[in-house]
Amino acid sequence: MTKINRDDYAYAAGLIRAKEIRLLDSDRLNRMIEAPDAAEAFKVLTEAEYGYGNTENFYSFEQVLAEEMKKTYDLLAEIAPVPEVVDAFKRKYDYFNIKVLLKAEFSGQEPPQILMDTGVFGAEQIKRIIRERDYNDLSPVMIQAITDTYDAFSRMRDPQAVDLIIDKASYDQFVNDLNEFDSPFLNELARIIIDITNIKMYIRARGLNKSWDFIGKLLLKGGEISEEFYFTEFDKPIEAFVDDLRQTKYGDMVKRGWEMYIAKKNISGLEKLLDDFLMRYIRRAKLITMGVEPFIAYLFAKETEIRNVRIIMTGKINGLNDDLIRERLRLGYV
Amino acid sequence: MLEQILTGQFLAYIGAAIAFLVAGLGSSKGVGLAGQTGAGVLSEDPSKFGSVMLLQALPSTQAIYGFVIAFLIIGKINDAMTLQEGLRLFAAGLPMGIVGLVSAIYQGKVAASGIQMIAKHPESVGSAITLALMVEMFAILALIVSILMIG
Repeated sequence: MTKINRDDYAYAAGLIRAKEIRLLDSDRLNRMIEAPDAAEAFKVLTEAEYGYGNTENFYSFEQVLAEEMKKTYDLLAEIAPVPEVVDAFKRKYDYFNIKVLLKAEFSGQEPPQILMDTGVFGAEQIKRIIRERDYNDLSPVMIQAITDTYDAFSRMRDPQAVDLIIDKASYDQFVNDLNEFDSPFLNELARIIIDITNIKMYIRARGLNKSWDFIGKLLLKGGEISEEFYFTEFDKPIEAFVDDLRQTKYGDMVKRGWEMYIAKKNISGLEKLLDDFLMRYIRRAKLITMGVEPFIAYLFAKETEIRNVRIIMTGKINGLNDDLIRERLRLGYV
Repeated sequence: MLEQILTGQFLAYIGAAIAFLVAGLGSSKGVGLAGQTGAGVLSEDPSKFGSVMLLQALPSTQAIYGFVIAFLIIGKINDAMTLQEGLRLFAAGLPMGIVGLVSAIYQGKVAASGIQMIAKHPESVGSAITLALMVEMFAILALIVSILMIG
């Protein structure tokens, strides 16, 4: 257990409150949505000092978003009293990079340019680690995932197995890391993330008529909703699952999402509702003045903001209408 | 041996020491906490220095009150003091010391929160100060009690 001392966050909390006023609020996101074209929408980002400020062209907005994410992680790593907290959040980018690199290796291609520089290991570093198979610095969960992936690929030759194994390991690691901290906020966050991920996966897998063998392997452990629950539900129709979730805090959300899924044959509505549920939990940090809560909330705020900006920019470039873009936006922190 | 040390004078000095030392610890902690938060805000927006400094300084009053009580107690000490008189001055140091410690720490927390508040809403500096001053009242009451006890 890593101890978290609230008062250690005094400086970080002050800095973050001052940073929060620069987050893109719904007014500014609306201005982006209502902008006549993508170039005009991109101007809002330039005004908000997104990225390192050396990109003029809105077509490279992905690079600006990656830079902004890196900027956020660099800031948090700099002011974090307990650096392990930031590392717990950074590791998902390592897993993403590992995934990309292994897939490239299996298909005999050069590593693509989409590697993220935001992980615990830099893009070049992780490239070297995978190329030379030098896993000394990696965490046990990571090493296991890489070995499993090589193993599974040599047996099945299925690139999708890479996604499944690495993504599962990424979540396992994240949840383990969060539970290492002596902070009820982070522990509850881990439980919510487990439940939300499981519910999404379960509904999607059932829709694809996957076997219990497949689902059981992907379920994350340690959530409020137990593995047994999913197991007993497996024999029933999926409507019964949605109905039986009623007694949990996710009940309303899943029910509404399920209705949208039935109406539109599309799971994205449900995914948005569950993401918004998580953000509502994160928003509790607004009432906490000292501690790890505002610190982590800022990270979530920024990640959600960047995600929303990506939705808007892609929508604008593809000429989607405003309401369609608005419908997809995640609930923000501010 | 013990009788030579445990004199009225000695007890009174301990009372004075507690009044300043303990209240001073509280103020250091309170001002320190508010100061760190203030530095965080200022690193992003240096223009808020005035209101941040005002809020940061609020928890320092406990140390000043502790100093006043210590000063008054020391002024009462003389060579011919009885043990009872010494004990009374010792007791007089306690309210200021202990209430000073606790109130300064909590005032520091309110001030730190207030600094976070003005980072978002600069116009509410008045409310932030008022909230922190609420805690001040207990330090003032402790100061009065200690003064009454010194007599």
